[in-house]
Amino acid sequence: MKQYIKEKHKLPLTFKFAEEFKAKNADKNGGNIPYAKCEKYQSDFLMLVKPFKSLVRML
Amino acid sequence: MILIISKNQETTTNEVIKWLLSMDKKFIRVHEDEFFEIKVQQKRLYIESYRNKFFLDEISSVWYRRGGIKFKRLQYNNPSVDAHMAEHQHWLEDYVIKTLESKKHINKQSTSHVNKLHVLEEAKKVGLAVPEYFLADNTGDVLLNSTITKPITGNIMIDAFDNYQDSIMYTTVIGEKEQDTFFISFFQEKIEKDFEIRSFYLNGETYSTAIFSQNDAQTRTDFRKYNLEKPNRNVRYNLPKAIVEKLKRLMQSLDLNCGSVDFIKSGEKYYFLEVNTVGQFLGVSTICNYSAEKAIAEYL
Repeated sequence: MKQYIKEKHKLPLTFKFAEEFKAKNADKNGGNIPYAKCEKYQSDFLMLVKPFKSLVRML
Repeated sequence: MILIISKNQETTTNEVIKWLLSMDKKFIRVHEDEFFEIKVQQKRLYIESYRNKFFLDEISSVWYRRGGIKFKRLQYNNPSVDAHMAEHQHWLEDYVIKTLESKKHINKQSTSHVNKLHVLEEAKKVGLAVPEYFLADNTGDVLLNSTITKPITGNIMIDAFDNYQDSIMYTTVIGEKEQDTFFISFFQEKIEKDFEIRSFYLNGETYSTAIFSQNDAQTRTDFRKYNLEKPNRNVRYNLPKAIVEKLKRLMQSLDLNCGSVDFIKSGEKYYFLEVNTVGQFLGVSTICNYSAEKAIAEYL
């Protein structure tokens, strides 16, 4: 992490390398995807628009 | 009736349900915020939450995806009575879970949360190649630039707090020694890879994808650091039969019949990294046209 976390106990080394991601990638990852409640799917979070998926080069 | 134990917001579950609906299969979906009471009616046990109610003998198959069946526990005033009733309730709950897990199922609530360290030991026992690893609270034995560290937790995210945004702990190569000690951490030999392989495993079948992440500095150590501008190339891949057989033995020893398994291909060797029972597989399933979500729906 960019800033030093103050904690009373030591932390694993993985904390040193944690990367903040949400703000940076929210739009590209489709952070504002609209959801709907749906009885059929028994969910309050049925995606109305699927997130952008890049075309992938084939062999 | 199919029982799906999942979360309210879970896209993979929705995709499987899409297939269940098309197959006209009936299902009950349990969310993470439900607490069940165990009740009985004419000798038949049923469980009831604020949004679901079903008899155990109604359920023909179970898919454990995420979350879990949780129960309302009554507490009693007298400590001695409370201790006895805690055990009484425990065994009833245990019976409900074991009864559900005895049905046709895809993964089980009781075994789905695997210990990464134990998995590596089991992988070695079945003959899979595993990069050398150790636990340490200092970098004394760490070979710089050829050792990685990664979390031993299933969840590699840290939720936002104070001034910090949501964070993710990617696999990272250790480039410098630390002066101080730290909390016990996991270190593993860094393998120079030809490419990575993610295999979706379901009842002995593998649906594998080769991920060409090694030529991109951003994804070289951890392909989940997705390069959205220039994504890694992903193609269908067939694991050698010998590796698939070892993987089957590993999954059996872990009492799992479904999971996403990570390998590294390096020269002639296939290195096993880890198995993720609740991992995302929709991405590779879509890209490689595997329809893994359909395979799940067909099995249930």
